[in-house]
Amino acid sequence: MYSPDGVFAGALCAALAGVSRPVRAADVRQLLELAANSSPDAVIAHILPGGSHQVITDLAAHAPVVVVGPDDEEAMLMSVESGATGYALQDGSLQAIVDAVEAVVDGRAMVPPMMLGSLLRAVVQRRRRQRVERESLEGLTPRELQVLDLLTSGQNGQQIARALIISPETVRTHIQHIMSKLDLHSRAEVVAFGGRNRLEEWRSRE
Amino acid sequence: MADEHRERPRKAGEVWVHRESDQVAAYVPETGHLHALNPSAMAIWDLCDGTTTVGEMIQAVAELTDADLSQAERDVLRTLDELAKRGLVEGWWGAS
Repeated sequence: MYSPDGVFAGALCAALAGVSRPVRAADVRQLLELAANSSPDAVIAHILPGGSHQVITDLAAHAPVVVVGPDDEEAMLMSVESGATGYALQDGSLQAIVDAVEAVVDGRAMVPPMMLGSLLRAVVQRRRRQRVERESLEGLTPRELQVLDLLTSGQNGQQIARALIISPETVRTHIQHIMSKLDLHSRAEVVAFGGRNRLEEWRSRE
Repeated sequence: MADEHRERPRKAGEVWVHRESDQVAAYVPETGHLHALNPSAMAIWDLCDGTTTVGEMIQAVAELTDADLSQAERDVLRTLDELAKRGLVEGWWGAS
């Protein structure tokens, strides 16, 4: 487990000692090493507001992850979407964290019960938004989809032009059409849209 | 499977809700009945807004709890049945 708050980490280790043998990491890098090399039953990561959620994804590749974080719907949803199986409030009881650890070791997901309603609503809204976005993809031509995929994979206009054997001016036209059809207003928005949708589609084909 | 459930249940009339810690009490003035709800039932009741389909509820529960769709379907339908039996939701006429 890791927490940037040493006192909190010590207290949590003491609380966990009754049910397991907690190992405390000095930092996130060591936590990742421990998770990768020692096959833990679960990993606890204390993520402060604004902290990176990539570490959750990396940890989840090795063991079920319990995130300890703020009483914030967005942070909780980000954690769950990043791969956390459990979430406990940093301002809640230590026992709630222990309960979450026991749940994920048992193969169950665990979030603060009173946050369940707002989390479910957030999931419903995100799924609706994704459905609308996927439907809007159907309005693109096969060529525009190719341009979208290449743009999303990080290629610039020149590279896309070479890959598709078309002129850079034609690439720009395709991108303008994509932006118009998807109601997007910048290349950055197009790339973000592609990341949310086309890349997901690629993964599902694998 | 989940897509088959296109019903959009909604909260019934006037219900007073009191939340404290992990306990929820729902009082229905019309009947004078007080109902204790667990957080899961309360979460489903929260989603009964007349626009969210039962299928969407099932998919969201499955995603959030890492349950498979058939398990989430059973849980959601059983909860809705219970909420309807207590007069807390409208627009839901039972799983069968």
